[in-house]
Amino acid sequence: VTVAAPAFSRTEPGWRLRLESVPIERLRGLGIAAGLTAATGAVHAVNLTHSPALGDGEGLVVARTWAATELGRLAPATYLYDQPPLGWLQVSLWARLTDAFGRAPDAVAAGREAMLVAFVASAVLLWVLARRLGLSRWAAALALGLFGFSPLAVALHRQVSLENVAVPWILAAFALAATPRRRLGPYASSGALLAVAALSCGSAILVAPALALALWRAVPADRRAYVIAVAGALFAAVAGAFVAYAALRGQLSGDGPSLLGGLGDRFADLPSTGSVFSGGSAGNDTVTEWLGLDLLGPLLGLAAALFALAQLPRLAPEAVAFLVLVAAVVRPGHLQPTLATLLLPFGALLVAGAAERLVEGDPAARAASADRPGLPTTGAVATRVRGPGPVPADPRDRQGRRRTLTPAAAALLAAGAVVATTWAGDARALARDDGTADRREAEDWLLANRPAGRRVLLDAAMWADLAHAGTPLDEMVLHPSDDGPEADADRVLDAWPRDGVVVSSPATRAAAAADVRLQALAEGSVAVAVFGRGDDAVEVRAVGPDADTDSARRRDPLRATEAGAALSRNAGVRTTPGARRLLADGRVDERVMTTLVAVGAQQPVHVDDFPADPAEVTAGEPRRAVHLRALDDRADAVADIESLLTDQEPPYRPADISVGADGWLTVTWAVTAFT
Amino acid sequence: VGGQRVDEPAAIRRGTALVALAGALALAPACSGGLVDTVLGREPEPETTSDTLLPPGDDEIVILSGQPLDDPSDLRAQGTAASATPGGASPDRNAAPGTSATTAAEAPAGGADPAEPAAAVETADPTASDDGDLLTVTNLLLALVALAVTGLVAGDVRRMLHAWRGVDARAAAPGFGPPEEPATSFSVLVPAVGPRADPDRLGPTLESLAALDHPFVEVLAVVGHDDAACRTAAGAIADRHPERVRVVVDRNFRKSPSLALATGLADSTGEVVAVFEPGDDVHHQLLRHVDTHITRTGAAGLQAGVRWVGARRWYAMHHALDRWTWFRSRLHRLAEQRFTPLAPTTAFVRADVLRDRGGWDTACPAAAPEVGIRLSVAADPVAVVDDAHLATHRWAPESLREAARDHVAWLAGFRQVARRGVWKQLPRRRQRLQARLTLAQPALAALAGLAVPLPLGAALLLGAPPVVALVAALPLVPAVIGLVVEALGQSERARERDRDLPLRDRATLVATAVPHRLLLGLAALRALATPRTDAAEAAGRRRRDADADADRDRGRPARPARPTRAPRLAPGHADVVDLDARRREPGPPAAPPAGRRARTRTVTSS
Repeated sequence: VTVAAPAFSRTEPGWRLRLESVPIERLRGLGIAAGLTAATGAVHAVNLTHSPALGDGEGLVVARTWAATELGRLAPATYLYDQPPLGWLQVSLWARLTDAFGRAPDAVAAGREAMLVAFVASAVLLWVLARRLGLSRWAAALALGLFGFSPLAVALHRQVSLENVAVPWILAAFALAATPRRRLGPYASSGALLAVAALSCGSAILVAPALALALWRAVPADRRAYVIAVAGALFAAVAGAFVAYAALRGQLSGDGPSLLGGLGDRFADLPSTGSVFSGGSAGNDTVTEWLGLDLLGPLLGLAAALFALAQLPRLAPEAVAFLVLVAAVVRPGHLQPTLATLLLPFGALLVAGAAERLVEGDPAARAASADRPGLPTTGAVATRVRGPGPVPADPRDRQGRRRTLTPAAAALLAAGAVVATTWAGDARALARDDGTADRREAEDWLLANRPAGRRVLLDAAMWADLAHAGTPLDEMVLHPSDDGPEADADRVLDAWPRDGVVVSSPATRAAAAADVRLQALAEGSVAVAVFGRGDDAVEVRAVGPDADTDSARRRDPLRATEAGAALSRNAGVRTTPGARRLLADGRVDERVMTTLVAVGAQQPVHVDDFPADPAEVTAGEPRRAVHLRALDDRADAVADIESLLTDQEPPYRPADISVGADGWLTVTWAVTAFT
Repeated sequence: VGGQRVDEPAAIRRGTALVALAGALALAPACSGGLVDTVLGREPEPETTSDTLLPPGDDEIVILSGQPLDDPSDLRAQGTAASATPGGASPDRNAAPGTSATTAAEAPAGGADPAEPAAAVETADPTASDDGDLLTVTNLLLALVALAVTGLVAGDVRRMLHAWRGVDARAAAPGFGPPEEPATSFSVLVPAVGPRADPDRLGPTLESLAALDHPFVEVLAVVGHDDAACRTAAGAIADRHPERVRVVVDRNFRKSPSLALATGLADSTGEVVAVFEPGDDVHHQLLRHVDTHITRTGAAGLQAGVRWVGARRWYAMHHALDRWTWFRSRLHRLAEQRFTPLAPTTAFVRADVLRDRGGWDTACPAAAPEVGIRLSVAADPVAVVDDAHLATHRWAPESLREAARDHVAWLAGFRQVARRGVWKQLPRRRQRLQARLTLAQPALAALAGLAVPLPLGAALLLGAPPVVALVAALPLVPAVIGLVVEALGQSERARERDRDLPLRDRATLVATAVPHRLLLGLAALRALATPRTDAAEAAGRRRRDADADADRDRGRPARPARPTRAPRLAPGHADVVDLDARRREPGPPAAPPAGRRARTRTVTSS
C-alpha cells in the first residue's frame, strides 16, 4: 500500500523490461501460432481468386465496397439500410489503403484479398481465445487447424462476405471477455467490439447472449453489475451510432430508404428459403453444399457443443453461441448462404476443447490425483504457473494417463486420419479449380464489344468490374440488387435496357426466376456469347424490341448458305477450304460477305479464315471477322482495302481493322445483334 | 475546504464573463464557418439553408418536371438537372446516379424512348449529396471540441470506475484489516471556526469523539475567541469528559479552518493528528483500525472513508453519491498514483512528519488537501482506506443553496491547493503536468459535464453532415455511462447500508442527472471565479520586496529555509497586516498574512 516514491513516479516495469521477461514457453506458443497461421493463410491464399466460384452475396458486397471506395457512397445506387454498412466500409478501407481495386485482377479478387486479411486476424485471435479459455497448446493448434484447413472453412473464408469481416471482431470480443488480467476495461470493451461485429454483419448479434454469458461467468458477483452495465452501454453506444446516423439523415422511418424499412425488409420480407430438412428447398441446397464440402466437421462441432454444455463449463459460452447459430440455420425463414462462417470458429474451438478433454481427462481430477504444479485447477482462466526449467516427468502420472486414455486417443487419431484423407481431395480442388474464368472472359468480352451508350443489365460483381473499367454508371442496371425481390423486379422492369445487353449469370437467373415478368423479358433476348456451360454459364444476351425477328432474319439459314456459296465462287475472293466450309454452312455474317464482295470487286484478295470468339460460336452467332490478304503486290493494295472498308456506312463499316506485319488484315465488325 | 468570503459583485462579474466565454467557445464553430466563408468570398453553402427553407409538406412544391417533391434533398440534385430536362418522368431513386441529366439525355441511345433520360435525372441519392465536404473548419472545430469533451468526461468516468476495474474490488479500494493492540496516541482536531462554527453540530461530534474506543486520545475542539456559542457547547462536553476533550481558543483575528488547525496543532501532544469537522458522526472503532493500519504500513498520512447520509432531496442524493464515488473509488485512483489530497475530515497525519514538512499551510483555506499533496510530493506514503462499516457519517446538505456552496467549496479547494504550487516541486516535467491536471480535473470534469450537449447542439443547428454530428454526439457516450455507473453506485451504497432502494429514488437520480450536472458546472464556474487573493497579495508584495521572496513564492526549493516548525501565530501582528492589506485593496479580502510566513517554508523532497 505504501510506496516511498513521489507522486506519479513509475513503479511498473517499462515495456522493454516486460518484453525481456517474456517466458520462453510463451515464445514457443507464439511460434506455433505464427506457424499455423502462416500455413492456414497459405492454404487460404493459394488460388484465392479462382475458387470457389462466385458466391451469391459476394457480388453485392464487392459492389458496395467499390461504391464506398470510389464513389464515397454506401451503395451502388441508394443505401437501403438492409445491412449495417460497417462491414463493407472496412473492406473499403483496405481497398483504399492498398489500392486493391487498382491492383487486383478484378473487383472480387480485391474483396477476397481483404478476406485473407480478415482470416489471418481471425486465426491469431482464435489462438489467443483458445489459450485464454485454458486450452492446451496442442488443443489450440487443433482448433486453428480445423479453422484453417477444413474445406468448408476455406471455401467460406475465401468468399467476400460480411460474416468474414465480423468474425475477427466476434473473436476479439470473446477474447477480451476471457481476459486473464480480469480488468473492467477489457470486459467493457468486449461489448463495444460485439457492436462493431454487429454493425459489420447483422447476424453477429446472434452471439450476444453467449458473450453476455461469458462476461457473467468471468466477472465476480460484486463487479458484475458494473461490467455488464458498462459493456452494455458501450454496445448500445456503438450500435446506436447506426440508428443515430439514420435519424440524422431523417431516414429512421417513412417512405423511401429508411432504417425501419430496411429492418422490415430484412426480417419480414426476405423470401423464405424453406426448411433445411425438406429436400429441394433453397435452404436445403445451401446446407447440402456445406456438408458436401465437409461432412464431419459440422457434425463433430454439434456433438462437441452438446458435450461442452454438459462437461466443459469453461467453453459453455462458446457452446451457446454455436447452438444459437445452428438454431438460426435450421429455423424456417431466410437462410443467408454464408451464415455458417460464424459457426466455424466456435465449432473449431469446441471440437478442440472436447478432444482435449477426451484425451487428457478432467483437469480438476488430474490436479487432485497428480500433485504436479502448474495445472489449471479452476474455472475459466488457466493461469499456468511454470516452475523454472522443465517439469520432471512423473512416470506414475504418465503411465496412468496412457493406460486410461488410449481408446480415446486412438479414436481421435483415427478420426483425424479419416478427416485428413477426405479433406485432401477438396483441398486440391480448392487449390486448382478456376470457377471464375467464365466471368472474367465475359467481362473482357463486354468491355471489348459493348457499344457505347447501350445499357447493360448485369450482376453486382460485374457491375463493380465494369464500373472500375470506366463504364458510365447510368449505362448499367444492377440486378439482383440489395432491394427486396419485388421492388428489385419493378425497378429492373422500369430500367430494362430495351435495346441493350443482358448478362445472364447464375445470380441474375436466380433473381429473375422469382418473377414471371422478368422471365418473359429474358425470353425475348438472344444469346450473343456464351461463356462456360451448364448452370454456371455466363451468357451475354442482346435484347431489343425486335430481338426475335431481327435475329431470325440474320440467321435465316437458307439465305446465308446461298450467299456463302455464291461468295465462295467469287473469282475476286479466293478462300481456303476451311473458310469455304464456313461460308457454305452459312456461319458467316451477312455484312462480312457483302463487304467481301465489294473488296473482291476492287482487287483480288485471299481469305484465310473467319476467326470468332469461342463464346460467340457457342452462342450460335454468325462469324463477324475475316482474316484476309491482298493478292496484288502493289504497295498501296492494303491501303486501298482499308479505305474501302472505312468508307462503308454502318452497319457495314467494320468496328476494327488490324494490319499484320506480313500484309494480313483482320477485319472485325460489331456484334451482329448490337447493330 | 473553502470558507473564504467572496466579494459578491466581483464574483458575479467574473462568473458572467466566464459564462460568456464558454458560450463564445461553444458557438465559435458557428461563427467561424460563416466567417471563413465570407473571408474567402465563398458562397454560403446551399445545403445548410435549403433544408430549413423548404416546407415539410409533400405536395407543396412542384418542380419543373411536373413532379411533386418528396425529399427536399432532391431539389438540390435536380436544381440543374430538372430544368435541363423538362420531360423528366417518375422519380426513380434506383437509377444509376453519377452523371448529370444532360449527358444522359444526349446519350446516343438509338431508339431511346422518352422515359429513358428520366432515369438519369434522379441523381438525388442522399448518400451522395449530403456528405459533400467533410473537412471544413467548422466541422473540424466541432469534432475537436467534441473529442476534447469526450476525453474529459471519459477520464472522469474512468476514475469513477477505478474501484471496480481490477480482479478484486477490495484490491483497488482497500478497507481496514482486523485491529490490533493500540500503540499510537492521537490528537483529534475539530476546527469549529468560520463557516463551520455550528454549536448544534459541534456538540454531538465531540460526544462521538469522546466515546472513541482507544486509550490514547485527546480531542481538541478549536473554537473562535469571539464565538461564545461554540465555546459553551464545547465547554460543556469538555466538562463532561475532562480526561479526553479540551477546548482550544483560536485568537486569530481572521477565522479560517487552516489557522484553527495550526492553533490546534500547536497545542497537541499526540503522535498522530486527526482532523474531523463539526457535524461528523465518528465510528467508535475507527481509531483502533487507523492505529493498526498506520503502525503496520508506516504510512505518514491516512484518509479514511466518509459517507454523507440522510439524503432525501435530489441535490442531496447527488451530493452524497458524488462524495461516495470520491471516497469509494476516485481517491483510490489518486492513491495509486501516490498523489493524495486529504479530505477536510477523517484525515490522519503523523504529527512529527507534519511538523517536519512545515505544519498546516495557513495560507491555503483547504489545509488538509494541501498537506496531503505536500506529503505526496515529498514521497511520504499516504494511505487511502475506505471501509463503509467504519466510515464517518455526515449529513447531506439540506438546501440547494447549501449543496451548491459545498460543491463550490469542494472544487475551489483543489484550485487553492493548485495555487499553493507545491506540485511544482515534483522533479520531472511529466509529473508536474500530471499533478496540475489532476488538481484541475474535478473542475474540468464539472465544466465538461456542462459542455456535453454543446457540440451536438451546434452540429444540429448548423446542419452539419451526419458523420460530423455523430462525432459531435460522442460526449454523450461517457456521460450516459457515467450516469449508469452512478445508478449502480446508488444501489451499492444502499446495500452498504442495508437499506432498500425505493424505485422512486432510482428514478429521481436518473431524472435529475441533468440539473445536477448543471449545478456542478455552475459551481465549477463559481469556483473558478473566486478571487485569486493570494496571487493579488503576492503581486503587491513582489512590488515591495526583493526577488528572493518571489522565488520562494514559486516554491523553488533551492534556498535554505527558515525554521519549519509550525509557526506560533502572533494575533496582534496578523491583525495589523490584515487591515493593511484590506486598505490596499478594498475588493476581495486578502489571504491571512500568516500565510506569508508559512509559505517560506521549504519542503525537502528527500
